[in-house]
Amino acid sequence: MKNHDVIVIGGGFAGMNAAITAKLNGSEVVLITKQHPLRSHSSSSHSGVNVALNDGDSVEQHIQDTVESGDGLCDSDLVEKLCREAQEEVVRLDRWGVPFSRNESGLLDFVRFGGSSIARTAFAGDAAGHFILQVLYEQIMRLEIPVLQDCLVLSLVISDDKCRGVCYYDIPTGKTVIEQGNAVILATGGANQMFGTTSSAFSATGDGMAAAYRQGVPLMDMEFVQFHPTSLPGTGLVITEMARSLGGRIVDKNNKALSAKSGLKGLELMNRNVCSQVMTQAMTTKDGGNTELFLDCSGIKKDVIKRQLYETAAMLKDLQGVKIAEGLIPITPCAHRSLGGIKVSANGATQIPGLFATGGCSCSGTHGANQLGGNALLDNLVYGRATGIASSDYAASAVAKEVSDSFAEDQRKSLRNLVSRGTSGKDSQTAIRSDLQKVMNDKVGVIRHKDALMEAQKTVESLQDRYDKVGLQKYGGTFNTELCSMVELGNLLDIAGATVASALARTESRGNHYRSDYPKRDDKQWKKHTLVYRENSSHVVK
Amino acid sequence: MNKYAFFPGCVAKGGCPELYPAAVKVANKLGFDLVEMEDVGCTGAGVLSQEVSDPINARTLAKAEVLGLPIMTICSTCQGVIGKANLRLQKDPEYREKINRDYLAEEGLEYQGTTDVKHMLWILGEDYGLEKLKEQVVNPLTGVKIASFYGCYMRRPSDVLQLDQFPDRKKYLEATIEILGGEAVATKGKGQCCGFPILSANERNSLEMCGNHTIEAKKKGADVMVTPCPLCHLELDGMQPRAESHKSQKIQLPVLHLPQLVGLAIGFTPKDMKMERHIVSTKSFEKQIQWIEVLSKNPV
Amino acid sequence: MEVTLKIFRYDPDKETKGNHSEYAIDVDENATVLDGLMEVKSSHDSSLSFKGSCRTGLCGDCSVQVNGKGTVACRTTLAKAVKKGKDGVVSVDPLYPAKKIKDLIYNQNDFLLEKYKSMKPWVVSNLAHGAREDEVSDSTIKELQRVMSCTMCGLCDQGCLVIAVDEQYVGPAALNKVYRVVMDPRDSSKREKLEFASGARKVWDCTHCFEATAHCPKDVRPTESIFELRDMAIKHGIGHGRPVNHHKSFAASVKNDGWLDETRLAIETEGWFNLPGLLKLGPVGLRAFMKRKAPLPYFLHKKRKGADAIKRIFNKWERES
Ligand SMILES: Cc1cc2nc3c(=O)[nH]c(=O)nc-3n(C[C@H](O)[C@H](O)[C@H](O)COP(=O)(O)OP(=O)(O)OC[C@H]3O[C@@H](n4cnc5c(N)ncnc54)[C@H](O)[C@@H]3O)c2cc1C
Ligand code: SF4
Ligand code: FES
Repeated sequence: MKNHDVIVIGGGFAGMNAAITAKLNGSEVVLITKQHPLRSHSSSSHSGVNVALNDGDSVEQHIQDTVESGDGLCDSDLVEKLCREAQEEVVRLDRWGVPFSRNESGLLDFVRFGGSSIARTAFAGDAAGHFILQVLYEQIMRLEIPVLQDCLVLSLVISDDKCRGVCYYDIPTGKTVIEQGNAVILATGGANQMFGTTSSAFSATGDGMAAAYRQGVPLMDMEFVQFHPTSLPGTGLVITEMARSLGGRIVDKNNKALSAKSGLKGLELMNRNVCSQVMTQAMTTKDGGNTELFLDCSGIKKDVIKRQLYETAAMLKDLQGVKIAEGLIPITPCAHRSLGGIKVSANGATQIPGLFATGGCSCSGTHGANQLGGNALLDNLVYGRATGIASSDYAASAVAKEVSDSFAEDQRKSLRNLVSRGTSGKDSQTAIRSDLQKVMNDKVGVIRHKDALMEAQKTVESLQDRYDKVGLQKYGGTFNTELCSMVELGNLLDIAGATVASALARTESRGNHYRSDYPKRDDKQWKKHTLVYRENSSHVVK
Repeated sequence: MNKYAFFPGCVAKGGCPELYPAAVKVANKLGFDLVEMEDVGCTGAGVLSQEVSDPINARTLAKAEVLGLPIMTICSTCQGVIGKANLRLQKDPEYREKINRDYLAEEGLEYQGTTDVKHMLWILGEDYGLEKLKEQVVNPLTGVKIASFYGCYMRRPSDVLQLDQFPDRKKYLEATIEILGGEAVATKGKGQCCGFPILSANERNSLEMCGNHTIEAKKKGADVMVTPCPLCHLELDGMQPRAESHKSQKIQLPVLHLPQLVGLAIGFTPKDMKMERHIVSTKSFEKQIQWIEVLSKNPV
Repeated sequence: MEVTLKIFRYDPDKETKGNHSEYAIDVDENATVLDGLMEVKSSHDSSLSFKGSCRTGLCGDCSVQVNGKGTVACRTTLAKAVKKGKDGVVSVDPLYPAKKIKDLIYNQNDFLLEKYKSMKPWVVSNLAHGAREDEVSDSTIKELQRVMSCTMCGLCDQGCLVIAVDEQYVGPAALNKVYRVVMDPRDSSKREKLEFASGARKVWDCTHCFEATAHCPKDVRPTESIFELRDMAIKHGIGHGRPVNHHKSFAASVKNDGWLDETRLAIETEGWFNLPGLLKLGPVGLRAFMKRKAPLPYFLHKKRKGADAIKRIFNKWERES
C-alpha cells in the first residue's frame, strides 16, 4: 500500500494551509476531505483577519487585546507567535491574490472588531473567507496536491502507539478503505452542528475531534463556545461583525439602543461574549418569557454597504425579503466557534506521535476563554503553517510500517452493525439530531446553570441510548448520505457529551462560559484549562 | 408621430441586403418618420473591445440626442450592444464625462445620456401598438405556423432589456405573429443562440445549433421562422444547407426577417420584400398566404 | 407553511432510471428549498441525498433545478418557489446536463470542477517583493472581488448554450476563473494563462449569448469576463487561426471604413492563403452571390460618412492602451 508522507484531513483554511506548507517543505502530501475544499465551512466566514499594520497599531497592542479578550487563560507565548507572524501570513495571502480591500494609498484597509482597541481586521468586502478559501485552493492546484474528496474519515489508524493513517468511507462508492501515511493532520473544523442555532455549515460535526477523543486524546477547554451576537433567529446565519463596526446598533423593538438600556456604552464593539451575554439577559423577560432584539443598520451609508456589506445585504434580501438599511433586522446570539478541541502543543502535535491537529478542531490555549474576532482565521494561518512544517519534519524522519486491513474491517463491521439492528420503530437519526440541537440550545447556551447542565447531561445520555437503537437502511452503495449523517450524529453526541461535562466542571464564569450559579471569575481555582477524556463511555474532566 | 433616428447597422446593408429596403418600406407604410443616421459607426457587435466600441456608440447616441430623437434599430445585436453601452453611459456620469472629454469633444459632441434606443420590434409593441398594427393587416397569415427566434441580445441581459420597465419585451415576437393572423409555434430554442458568433471558431458547434433550432421548429410544425436579427438570419437561413449536411437530414425551413413578415401581411409582395434573395426558398410559405390585397404601387 | 416538493429520486444501485416522488412538508415562512430538503429527509425519507454546506450562498454546493430553473437552494425561499411551481408544487431536480449520480447529486467534478482545474487558474506571485503587501487601488480590488465572488455553483455552465451542444467546451465558470487570475495585478503569469485559454474549445468558442451572465446568482458576469479575456489576448498579440483573424479583420474594417465589410471578413477569417478554407466559403458564397444576397465585393465596399471620426477614435484608443 502506498505510504504518504503527510495526510491532511480537511480542506478548510487550516487544512489547506497546512497541506501547502508541508508540500513546500518538501513532503509528499495528500488532502482528504468529506466535501470539495471550496464547499468547506470556512467559505462562510465574512469578515476578515487581524494583522497589526494599521497606522498607530503595533504587534504589542494586538497581543494585549488578544490576552485581555482571553480573560486570563491565554498562553502568552502562543499569543506572541500568533501576533508576530500575522504580517507574513497575511501578506503571503495577499500575494497569492486575496482581494483584501484597500485604503486610498492602495494598502490594506482595516475595520475595528469587538474587543480590539483599534481598527485591525483586514477585510475583503464582506466575504474574506470565501476569497481566502478560493485562493488557498488555487495554490493547492498549483502545487498539484492530490485531493480525495467525498471521503468521510471514520477513524485513526494507530499501531505501535503511533498514528499511521486513517480509515475512511468513500462516499461515491461506499467502500471503507485505509490511507496510510507517516503523519496525519486533523483539520476537520468545529462541532457546532450540535447546536440548533449556529452559524456553522452542515459539515461542522466534530468528526476529527471525535476520532482523536476515542483514541484517548483529551479535548481541551470544551466549555468555551463562542456565541456570535448577531445572527438570524432560527437559522443562526450570521450578520457579520462588520455591520456593527460600521455603525449597526443593537436595539429593542422600540428602536431603543441596548447599550443605553444596559448602561454599557459601545456595547456593539465589546467582546463577543459580553455582547451575547447582555443580549441574552435582555431577551429574557422577568417572567421567563422571551422578547426580541434587533439590529438597526439604517445609519450605514449606501456606498459603505456596497463596499463592505454587499454579501450580507444580498443574503437578507433573498432570505428575509428586507433591505439591510431599512427597518429592524431580528437577531439572536448563535453558537459560532468552539474554542475547545483536540489538545495540541504549539506546533500542532498531539500526545500520539504522528498525529497532529490544527484549526477549528484543535485547541492549544492561544485564545483562552474568548477569542478576539478576526483571530480565528489568523490562527488557522499561523498555526496551520506551524503544523504543516512540524508534520512534514516528523514524516521525513519517521519509518513507515505496513498496516493491516483489519482496521478497515473493524469499521466495516460496525457500519454493517448499524444496518443489521434494523430501522423498525418510530425513532430516527434526524429526530435524535434535532433533539440534541434543542437541548444544547436551551440548556448549554450563553447563560448556563448547574441544573440545566445536569438536565442536558441526562438528555445527551438518553440520546446516546436512542442512537444505539436506530438503524440504517443499507450499508455502502452510491452516495449513501444516510450512512454519513449517521456517523456524523455519533460524533456530535460524543462531542456534546464532552462539552456538557466540561461546562459542568468549570464552576466559575470566564470568557465565553457564563454560569449564573457562579457569576464570578475564580482565578484561585480556575486559572487553568479543562481537559476531558473519554473513559469507557463516559466523559471525565481533569 | 413616430419619428426616429434610424440606425440600420452593417448587416442590413451588407450580408442581408434584403432587410434594409424591407424595413424602410414597412416603416414608411406605417407612417414612421425615419431620419437615417449615415455618419455613424458599427456598434462593435460584441466583437470589438468595449474600450473602443463605447466611444463609437457614445458618438452615435450623442448624434441622436442632437436630433432629439430616439434611435430605431433593426438588428438584435446592434440593439443589445448599443443598448448596453447606453446603460453604462447613463448609469455612470463619470465614465460618460471621460468618454465625452477623451473622444467626443474633438467633434464638438457631448452625450448627456438622454437617448433611448429601441428595436423596431419594441417600437411596434410599445410606441406604435399592436392593435394599431392589426388594423393595417390586409393579408392575414391565417393558418400559417410561425416559429419565433429572437437573437440573444433581445433576450439578455435583463437590465439592458429594461425588463422591469417593459416586462413584455420577451413576448412581442409571438404577439406580433398572432396579430398578423399567424399561429405562433413555441420552441425551446427561440431565446437561444443561433450559432453565428462561433461560425469561425467552431463550425461544428455552430452548425449543430443552427440545425437544432431549425429542426426543432420544423418538428413542432412550423412552416416558417421569423427573426428580428439579421445575424441570426445569416446563420439560420444562410447556413441551413450546411446544417442539413451536418445533421444529415433535410430541413428546408424558410426564415424571414421581422419586417418581411409584417410587410407581407400589410400588403407588400414577396418581390417588394426581396424574398428571392433568401438561401432557403420561401415559395412554399408564400403559397400559404391568401393574397387578398396587394399594394399596387411601391410606396417608397 | 405547507408545501409539496416533487423531488427527483434515483438510486443507481437499484434502478437504471429515476423518477419523481412527492412529499408534503410543513415548514417556516422563511424556509429555503434547502431547508425543505432537510425537512423531507427528517419527516419522510432519511435516505434522500443532496448537497449543501454553508446554508448562506457562499460555498456553491447546493445548486439544483427548482421548477426547471437552476437555483442556489439555500438562497431560494419556498414561499417564492411555490408561486412559480406548477399547481403549487415545487419541483426539485439535479442540475442539467451534468451526469446524475444519486437523487439530487450530480457529477460536479466532470461537469465543473475538473474543467476549472484544467485551466491552471492560479496566481503565480512575483515573490521579489518587500515585506508589505503590493499597492493596488481599491477600485481594482472591487472589480476583483466582483469577479471572484463566483462560488463555482455551476449555474452558468448549466445555462451555457455551447456546453449544451459540446460537453468538451470548458465553459463560462472555468473561463471566468482564468479572467480572475489575469486581471489580478499581483499575478506574473498572464501571458501563459492567456495563451492557454486561447486554445481549442476555450475562449474563442463562446457565442457570447449572455446566458451565463443571466444564470449567475451573483454579480460575476461570466460572459463579460470572456469578452475581457479575448480583448486581452488580442492586445497581447496572442492566438492565431480563424477566430483571431476574424476579430482582427472586423476591427480593421470598422477602423478604416466605419462599418463592417463582410466579404473581407470572411476571406480574412479563413486566411488569404488558406485555399481549402476559401473553397469552403464557396457553396454558400456562390449561392448567396447568385441570389444577390452577398454583400458588395470588398473592393467596392465604401467608406461610410463619418469614417474619419471613427478612425480617430480607434487611433486614440490604440495609442492609449
Ligand atoms: C459565519 C462565520 C463567520 C466567521 N468569520 C470569521 C472572521 O471574520 N474572522 C475569523 O478569523 N474567523 C471567522 N470565522 C471562523 C472561521 O471560519 C473558522 O475558524 C475556520 O473556518 C475554521 O477553519 P478550519 O479549516 O479549521 O475548518 P473548516 O472550514 O470547518 O473545514 C473543515 C474541513 O474538514 C473536512 N472534514 C470534516 N470532517 C471530516 C471527515 N470526517 N472526513 C474528512 N474530512 C472532514 C471538511 O470537509 C472541511 O473541508 C467565522 C466562522 C463563521 C461560521
Ligand atoms: S460565474 Fe456565477 S453562475 Fe457561474 S459558477 Fe460562478 S457563481 Fe455560479
Ligand atoms: S449551501 Fe452553500 S451555497 Fe447553498
